[in-house]
Amino acid sequence: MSGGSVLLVSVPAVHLSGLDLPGSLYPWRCLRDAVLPPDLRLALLLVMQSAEAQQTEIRFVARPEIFTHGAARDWLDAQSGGAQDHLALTDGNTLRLIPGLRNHMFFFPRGMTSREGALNRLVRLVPEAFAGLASQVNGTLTFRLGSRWIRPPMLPLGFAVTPVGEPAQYTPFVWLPGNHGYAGVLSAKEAMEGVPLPKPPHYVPLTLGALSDHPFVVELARQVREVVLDPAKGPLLIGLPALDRDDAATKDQVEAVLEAFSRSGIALPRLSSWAVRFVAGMPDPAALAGARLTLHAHVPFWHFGRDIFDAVGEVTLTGSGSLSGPASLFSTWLGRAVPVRRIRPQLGLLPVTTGQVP
Amino acid sequence: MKPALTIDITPLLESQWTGIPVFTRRLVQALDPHLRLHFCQGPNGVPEEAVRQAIRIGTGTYLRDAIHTEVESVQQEARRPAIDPAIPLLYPSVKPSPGAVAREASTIHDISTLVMPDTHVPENVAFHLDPLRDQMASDEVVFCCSEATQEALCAYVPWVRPKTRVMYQYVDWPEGFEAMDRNQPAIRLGRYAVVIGTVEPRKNLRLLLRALEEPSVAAADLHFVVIGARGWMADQALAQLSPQAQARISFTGFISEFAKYRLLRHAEFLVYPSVYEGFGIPAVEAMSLGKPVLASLSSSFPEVIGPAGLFFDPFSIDGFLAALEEMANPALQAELAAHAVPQASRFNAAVMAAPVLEWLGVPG
Repeated sequence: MSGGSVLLVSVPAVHLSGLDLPGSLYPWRCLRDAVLPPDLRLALLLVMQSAEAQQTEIRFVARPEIFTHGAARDWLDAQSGGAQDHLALTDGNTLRLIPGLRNHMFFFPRGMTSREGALNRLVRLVPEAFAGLASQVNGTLTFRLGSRWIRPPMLPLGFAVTPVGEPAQYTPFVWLPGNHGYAGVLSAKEAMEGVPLPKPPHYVPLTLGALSDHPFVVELARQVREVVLDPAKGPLLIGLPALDRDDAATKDQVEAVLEAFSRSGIALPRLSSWAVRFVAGMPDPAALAGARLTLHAHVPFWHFGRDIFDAVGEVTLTGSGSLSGPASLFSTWLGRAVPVRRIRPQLGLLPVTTGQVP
Repeated sequence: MKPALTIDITPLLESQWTGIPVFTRRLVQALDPHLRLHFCQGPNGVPEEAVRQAIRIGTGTYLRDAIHTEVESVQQEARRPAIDPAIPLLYPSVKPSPGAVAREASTIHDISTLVMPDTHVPENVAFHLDPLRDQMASDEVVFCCSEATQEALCAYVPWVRPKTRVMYQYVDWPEGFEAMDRNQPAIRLGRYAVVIGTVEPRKNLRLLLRALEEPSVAAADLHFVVIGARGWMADQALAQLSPQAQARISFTGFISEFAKYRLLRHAEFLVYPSVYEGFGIPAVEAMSLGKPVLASLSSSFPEVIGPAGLFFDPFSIDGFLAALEEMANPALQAELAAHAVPQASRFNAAVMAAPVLEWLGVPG
């Protein structure tokens, strides 16, 4: 995307249904004041900040798909201030293109397994649409089309300062074997803001995508056990994953993590501990000073500003899948090489998958 | 001897024919004079007489019964005639299982399930999209219901462009409607416009509901008759309107073709606020009765409505109000109306048949 011009931006239309837009092209304030999912709001903030830094004017377009050709397209061209680029923020359900413009994609729910599944399905359905993208923002989408490997050029965008959201809430680790729902309730009951940490923590933010990486979960559960049994090895700070439903509460997020631990095969002690603690929301960068940050490849690293990466003492990218794409993107994004640790499978119990009919 | 073509009549099994079933019926009638038609449902042949009788009656209920009577036992099912693999096969909609015959073609009505899945239930999205790639790959020709659909499809699947042909459908009111209408008492609705749409997001009726509260619309004496079901979403939206605004709009629910004909014939104009359509047959229906159309500047509307329409940004209440005010001018209405019938007559049976005949190498 070139600086100093006009950029058309579209967001998933499902988030526009309740808004009284002034027209097909609408200003930022319509979204700024709207109720939006946190990951979409962060993505929009990132785009707005980046555009401002490049002195690019943003015009939002409600339904780019209705302006494909003819008089409707002529109208859009006349209204769009000579825009040559269109950035489609996608949740994986669709990719809206404007033919003739340079189309860019920002898949913002990275780590949300259902959204990633939807995007992959879309790639299988219309791979040519993705092959024609001018860039992908903070993404590592790669696929094979016939004999060609396709990877739309990566466009790294990042926050200088992590956006301030709701204060982070900390809850203790609680383990009740076989009753993770109630453990989640007990943990969430203890929720506190700004709990002081005795020393820089090991911070592991999670997503549902990270939790579906079995070898990674096995290793994390092993670390949890070590810290719970020997708090001096802590604190271990586990970032709770966003869930793919609007009514999810902290207890549900804790339950999702505990469920994943229970599938790891690692025996955890029936204890409650603040040495391992969960955090809902973004921790204060001051609390992460000198911390060790372990980022799974399925975690949207761009949620963290450079202030956090400057504050932590050590950053590692991890996961059991291929890490070359994420490592390349993350290193480019951060401006320095990031240590990568690939977790080998075959730790803990093997996962069991059953069909629907026994 | 006329060349042969098999048409998959699965859409005709619907009880009430609107949308794709009506398109299928028109396709059969458009091709009938030129081709020796065979009919099938998936891999099985369907008796020709049953299809023709269903078309005469205008419902799929008869056709379903006729097919089920034929296959009441496993033995009968096994004896069902299979389609002839040497005869080209045309699907008027989705092709669920490609490769039934050597030469196949299918029809894309719009790509809304691809570009606006938020306006469909997931089952509908899967029904249209899951077979799409195989469907087009195995087609000799992919018929698109408008240039807009053709362009939109090719933006996502560029390799399909050489296979695509535009297939416009047409309006065919029954001959007796005009006389029947003359023999009915006058419609006592005062000044009114017919509106096509529901409260579902793609149909964009919400724009009209917002407009009803505007002083310029409130001051006019125009009533809006919405052809379509009211539904609970409409009830919710209407509940937020003032009683005066509520009194200006009425919903017909599901109505007969004749009732629709009458409402359109005596309306001042048609309002079509839909955000996206693959073709927009209601606009052609209105134009065929000499009515201008106030439509969204979107997708296929400019192409289909042409000089008989006035267009507005479907997301702009100000744009809609301005267009509504313009349309209230009798001189402009008359000017647009003069283009309506000629524009509608661009879409006729011969035009619909032409791309199919071209595919089969038959002189039109």
